[in-house]
Formats: sequence, structure tokens, C-alpha cells
Amino acid sequence: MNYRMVWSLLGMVLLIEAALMALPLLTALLYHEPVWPFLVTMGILVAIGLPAWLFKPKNRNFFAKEGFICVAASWILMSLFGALPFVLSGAIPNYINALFETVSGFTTTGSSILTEIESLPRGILFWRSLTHWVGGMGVLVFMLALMPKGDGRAIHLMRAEVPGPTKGKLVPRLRTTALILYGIYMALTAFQVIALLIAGLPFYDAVVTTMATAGTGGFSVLNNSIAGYHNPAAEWIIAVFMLLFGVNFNLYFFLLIKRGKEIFKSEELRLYLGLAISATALIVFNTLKSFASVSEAIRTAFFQVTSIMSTTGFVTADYGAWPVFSKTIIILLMIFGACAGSTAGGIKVSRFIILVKSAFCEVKHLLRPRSVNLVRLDGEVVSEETRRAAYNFLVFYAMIIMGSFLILSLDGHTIETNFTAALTCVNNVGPIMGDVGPFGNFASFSWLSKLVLTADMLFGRLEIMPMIIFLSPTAWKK
Amino acid sequence: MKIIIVGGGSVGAAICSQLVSDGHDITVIDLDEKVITALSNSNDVTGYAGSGTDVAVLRKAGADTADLLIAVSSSDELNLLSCAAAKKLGTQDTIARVRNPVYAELVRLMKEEMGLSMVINPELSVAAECRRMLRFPGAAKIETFCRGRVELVEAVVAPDSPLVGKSLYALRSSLKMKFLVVSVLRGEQVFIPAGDFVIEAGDIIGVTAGEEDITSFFKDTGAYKRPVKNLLIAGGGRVCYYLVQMLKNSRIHATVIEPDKALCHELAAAFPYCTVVQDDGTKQEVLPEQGLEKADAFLALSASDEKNAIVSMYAASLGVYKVVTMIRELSYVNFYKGMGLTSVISPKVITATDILRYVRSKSSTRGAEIESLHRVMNGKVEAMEFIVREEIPGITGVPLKKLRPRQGVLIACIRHGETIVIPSGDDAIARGDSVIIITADEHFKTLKDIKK
Repeated sequence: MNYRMVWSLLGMVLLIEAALMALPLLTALLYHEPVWPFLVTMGILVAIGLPAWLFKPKNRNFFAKEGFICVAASWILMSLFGALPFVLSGAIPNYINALFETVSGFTTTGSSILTEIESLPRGILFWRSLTHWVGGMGVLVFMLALMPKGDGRAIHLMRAEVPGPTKGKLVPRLRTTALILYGIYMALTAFQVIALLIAGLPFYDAVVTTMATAGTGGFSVLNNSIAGYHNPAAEWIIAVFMLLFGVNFNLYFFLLIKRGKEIFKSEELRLYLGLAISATALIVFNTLKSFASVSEAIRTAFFQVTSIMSTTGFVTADYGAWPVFSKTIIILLMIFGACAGSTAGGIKVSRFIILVKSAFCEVKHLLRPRSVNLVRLDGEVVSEETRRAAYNFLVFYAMIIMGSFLILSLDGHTIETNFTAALTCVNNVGPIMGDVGPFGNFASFSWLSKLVLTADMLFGRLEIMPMIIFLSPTAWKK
Repeated sequence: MKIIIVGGGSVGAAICSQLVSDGHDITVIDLDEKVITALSNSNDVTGYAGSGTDVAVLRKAGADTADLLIAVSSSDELNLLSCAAAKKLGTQDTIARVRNPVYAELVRLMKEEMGLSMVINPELSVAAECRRMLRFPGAAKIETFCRGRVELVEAVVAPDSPLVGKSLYALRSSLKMKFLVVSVLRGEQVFIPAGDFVIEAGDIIGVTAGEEDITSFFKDTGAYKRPVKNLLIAGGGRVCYYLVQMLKNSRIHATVIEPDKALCHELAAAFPYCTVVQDDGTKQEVLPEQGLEKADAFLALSASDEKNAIVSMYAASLGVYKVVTMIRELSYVNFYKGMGLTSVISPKVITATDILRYVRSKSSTRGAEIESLHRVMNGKVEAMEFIVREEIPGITGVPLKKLRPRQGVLIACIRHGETIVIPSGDDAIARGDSVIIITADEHFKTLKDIKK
């Protein structure tokens, strides 16, 4: 372990977080709210980050292990410090609650412990939504975009942070890749803000809602989430953008460099869109009776489906009251998640494709033991390593959900609540079902459950492995 | 520049990491997925698994927009074909490594049709390097500039050398000739020496001078004791073949020891002026029998690195004046050098150096003004050749003593028309000159950087 190199990178991450806090600070200034909670936090971040960053290590060796640990440690530290403004401003006095909220923000989960949101200071709410935007594409990818001359080994940082079973660079240079990803991200964000402004949302609401959509997070500044706006046009816009942010960003790059044909080759995209459409159709048929018009039924179903599938977690309908069939579809969609290389969480459609195809391959193999069976994705053979990693992921994923499910059961909620709570956090979705309901929140859980769920969210966002490695003692040996 | 490298073997990997740090965008194509993964883990590059002759793979790697494709896979045919394909797809320039001498004529014949900008034959380059070393047995390495008119020779200063303990001022006044000590490597540290610099034993000095002066410099300083007359070569492979071909009409008599009968016959048939002995030149009892002790120079060019190393050490222990060792695998090169083998040459290093030189002189990022670029002193010092195409205020026409280049920058040589000037304070740079700048600063881009 090259501790010094990791420290230096962590220092840079903290400095970036301090710089990002300038945005909510400005918002607070604009609305004449106290700015000292941000100033104090920024001071602490700079005081710790700057010496760590300035300390240049001689040995610049950096391998996969350092990459995993650095990414896990960055996310944990960012969350620990990112929670301070909530505590200092008194918005969320309890630190564990504040930490839960911050981790939920950075991991783009969108689960909240807040019962009363609308009365909170706007600067604080801006920070809460900004964490979504930063966490969506990842702070280390952001750092790579800023680094003037990237070390070749920095690829390990990107691998550990960007979700998906296979990760490659778009262009030879890591920094250019990171810049392209953030460029696409910012452009889509800008489009959505403009669209929402046209739909009639106030500027502040348009911006914070867009940040929560872009990161596929789900924090809203209204107690009733998006339903509170009573604006069908805005609902359609948000639904479409949730779907867009759940698409692999590489595909947008292909569109940009006029290789649009590659997009249609993507099995993942086809299955993703197919699932979204069929789930919407099934839910519309199942719930049609409870809506006044067909268009309202379609809009509501489409919004919930894209919200859950892209793991955003905005809500416009209390689907806790829907028939069991529709509820089950929603729960299944939670597990699926969206595309690899997007800002969304979940197992990811492409990993799911690989797992299912591998399973069928094994069946073929049992029938004809000497036959050679390969798994293909988008026409290309999936390597043995990728397949193994996908299986590994599934095993840890199941173990984490089972463990959390057990610990949550101590709290006295229904089984449905506990199960969906564990699912929603590991998959970074946000809302829960059962006795709490999609509009409800996590305030009623015990501190132990909150900590477990906080960890679950981090496990989910970083796709488990970085966290497992961070927690395994052998990785820390010199 | 956007560069595609076909083949991620040791040459591919070496040029890959160098080119990345020079700021180029590199895409690697290799048949082996693992090679790609390993390379992209340690360097900022992307890669695709597949054949360099597969048009789909080439397209994916961006051959339609690439500036340069370098084909250094293990197969000559694949290298040539991928260059031709890339050129057709739209790649600006292509470089192919071609080893088999059978293709030498073919390549000359079809260079244009195949779209080749440069062909590298490592064995031929090694032979040329050996030839240069035989001309200056005292030198460890030689670079040429101004189309061979100027040479930069690196030499180790022996403890009994008359250079030891003298400042460069003193040397220049005592030796009546024009030369310049441009760089000194002492241990790991590199100096661009000023006039008061004192040379110590064990230093590796880089010296420039015109063709005749450099010979007399080494003669007068004792580093050049005698010309090589008797040469013993162990191993009659391709390098040997090319080298013996170059020795035609020279005063050097070569004896080649090669165990393979067919190779012996081939050599003997092609080169009647050399002695060919069919025996194993890496055996201890064979070498003295063939007159190792009387030889002025010994070249270990057999196929086995280990045998070359051992047999070279043995030759050096017998007091053979110049011993050159060929090492193919890069992993132990530095170790061998540390074991007292001063002249180690490696086809792979030479290939990589040639390619890097080409790319550096081509690449626009370092400014199109650089005519050629050489790395000397273990790559710690750069020697750059510039052509002065226009008047530069404050530089052209100013006598060098008034120009005052900044620290660590040295004007080593000016080629003025057909005359080579080793500059003193009164000389000046004029339009149309070629200028050679020596510096350890990697950001030196244009002649204007002399002053800043």
C-alpha cells in the first residue's frame, strides 16, 4: 500500500469538495441565509486537504489496490465532512441523520430522514441536491478531468468509481475521457434546466430538481416530491430525462462523433428501453381503474417506472396503494437498475444480461460437456474474467441485502418495509414501500439501521468491490 | 499526435510509455487481450485485442484519423500489411519493423505502394551501430548530426586519462583543435559543463567535433589507442551478415565463429574477404584458439544473451581492447552494464530509439522546427538539431559571447553552409544555419528558448 500517494489524492478530493461548497454558499448569500456553516466546513476541508495534497509522495506507484482503497476512502471522507453543514446549520442536528442524508446524496440514493423539507434554508437544500450531481458522475472522475497530466495508473481510480461490468476509456487519454463524460453530463443537465424553466418551474426548483435527476438521485425540495408541483409537463420532462441519465454515456459519445449506428447495436440499451416500456404498459393495465384518464395513467406509470429503473426515486403517486402486481414490478425494477456507465445504481442491465447468458451457457455445457460456449454482448465475446466478476458481484450483492434485511428486522417495521429499505439503499433508488410508503422517509429507523443503510448505499454506489477491499485487512498491509 | 501501435511486445511497450509521456494519444493493437490490459494498466493508453491487419480493428482504433501507425509486432508480414491497410484507411504516416533481409529489396521496391514512411530493420541498425563503435573503440556511444557530418561521441574517462583533473578551459588551450565537451554524466547526475568544469575519472563525457577533429581528440587524449585491425565475432547471424557487408573495403579483418554449417557457408560465399570458422564461439577453449588475445575487438552476437554476456566478460578479462555485447532481452540490460560491460547494444533499444527520434522530429507538439532529436547520456540529455529558417531578433547575428544562453543550454555546433563550426564566443548564428543545442530541459521547443 502506497499510503502517501493515497493521502495526496484524498487531499485533492477534499479540496474539490471545499470548492464545490462555494455554490451552496453563494445560494445562501443570495437568499440572505447564514453562510458560516459552509465557511466553517470549507475551512476544515482546506485545513486537512491542503497539507495532504501539498505533500508530494516520492514513490508514485499506484496499482489496482490503491485505486480501490482511494475511491472508497474518498467517498467515506467526503460524506463525513459533507454532513457538517447540515449539523452546523441545525437543519439536521443529529450527526448520524446528517451522515445518512449526505451519503444518500452522494450515492444518488435519495432516501431521506427529513420529514419537513420545505422550511429548510435554501442553501442547505442546494448542497443536498448538489451532492447528487457530484456523486452521479463521481468526484474522482471529476478530479481526473482536472488533473493536468494524468499518471497512466490513474485508470484504476476510474475503474473503481465508474459503474458497470466492463470499463474502457472512450479515447486514449484518461483526462480527455473524463472531460468528455463531464461535458456530456453538463450539457444534458443544461438541457433539462431549460426544459423545466419552459415548463414553468421557478429557477431554483428547476436547478435543484435537475441536479437530482442528473445524478439519478431523487432528493426533492418539496415534501411531496415531484407530485408537489402539480405540473404534468414538468413530470414528462423529468421522466424522459431520468430515462436519458440512465443510459450509458458512451452511447452519447458515439452520437457526438457521428457513429450513431453503434447505439442500435447496444443490447443493453434495447433491453433497458424494452423493460421500461413493457413495465409501463403492464402497470397501466393493472392500475387503469384508479385513474381519471388514460393519459394520466400512462404519465404516472411511466414516471414511476423511469424513476425506479434509473434509480432516481422521484415520486408522483403513492404506489404503496397499487395492486400487488404493480408493486412487484416496481420492486423488480429496483433490482435491475439502469445501464452501465450511467449515473444510475442497481445491478445494471448489462451485468444482468451477462449473468443470464452465462447461466444458459452452463446449461448448454451440462448437456454437451465438450462444447465450447461463449457469452456475447453486442456481438463481442465477454471475457471469462468479466463473467466471473459479475458472479462475484451477485454473491456479495445478495449477502449484503440478506445481512441488512436481518438487522433492519430488529426495528419493528413490516417485512415489506425492511426488505424494500435494504433494496432501495443497496440499489441507490430511494423510496420504500410497506408501512412507511413512497412518500415516507427513514426517520423512524433506529440509529443502527441507519448506519447499516448508510453503508449499504456506499456499497451499492461503488459496486461493492472497492468497499470490500477497503474493509479487508490484507489490503492495508505495507 | 494520434498514434496507433501494432504489437505490444517489449519494443511496443517501450515506445508506448515514452510516447505517452511525450504527450501523444496512443492506441495499442495486440492479438493478446492480456497484453492490452497490462499496457493500459500502467500507461494512459487504450487498446484493442485483434490483428493489426483486421480492418475492423484498425477502424476501431481510429486508423482513419490517426497521424501515425507504428507496426512492431513479431511478424514482418503483419507489420507490412497493417501499414498498407492503415495508409489506405487514411493514416498519415506509417512505420514498419521488418527484420527478414529477404524483404529488404521488396520494401525498397514497394515503399510507396505500401504507404511506408519509414522501415526499421533492427539487425541492420545494430550492425551500423557496431560499425560506428569499431571506428571509435574508445567511445561508448555515437550519435550523428547534420547528415553524418557532426558526431557526438560518449566516452568513459579512464583513471589514467590525461583529461582527469583538468578544467575545460585548460583542455581547450592545450589541445589545438576545435571540440566541445557538451555533457558529463557523473554517477546519476548530468552536467552541462561550463568552462571551469573539472573532469574526473569515471565520468562519461559527451564530445562534439567535426569528423577529423574527433578522431584526433581521442588520439590526443589517449582514449583512442589504436585502430581496430583484428576483429573477432562470435555468432554469425543477421547482424553479423550486415556488419561484415559493411566492413568491405575497410582495413578491419574479421573472423566469424559460427556453429551452424549452413550459415558459415552463406557467409563464406558472400564475403570472401573474411575468415569463417565453424565452431561454437561461446566456448572458452575455442576463443583463444581463434586468437582472442590478439584481437583488437570482440563482438558477442550469438543468439543467447547469457552466453554473450559471459563470453564478453571473459574477453574483457583477457584484456581485449573493445568488447561489444549484444543483448536481446531488455530485462537485464542495466545489470549487464553494471557488471563492467561498457558497450551493450540491444536491437530493441535501437529500434525504439529510431522510432522515437522519428516521432519527435515529426510531432508538432514539440514544434516543427526540430530537425532531429537525440537522447544521450542514458536519455538524460537531449541533443536537438534546428534549422534557422528566418532571422530571429536577438539571436541571429549576435556573437555567442553576447548571446549568453541560459544555464543548462549549450550551443554545441553550427553548420554554416558546408563548414562545421564548433562555436567559440565570436561565432554567431545566421539564417540558413543548422544549430545543435544540448540541454537537459525537456521543454526546450524553439531556438528562442535559448534565452528565456
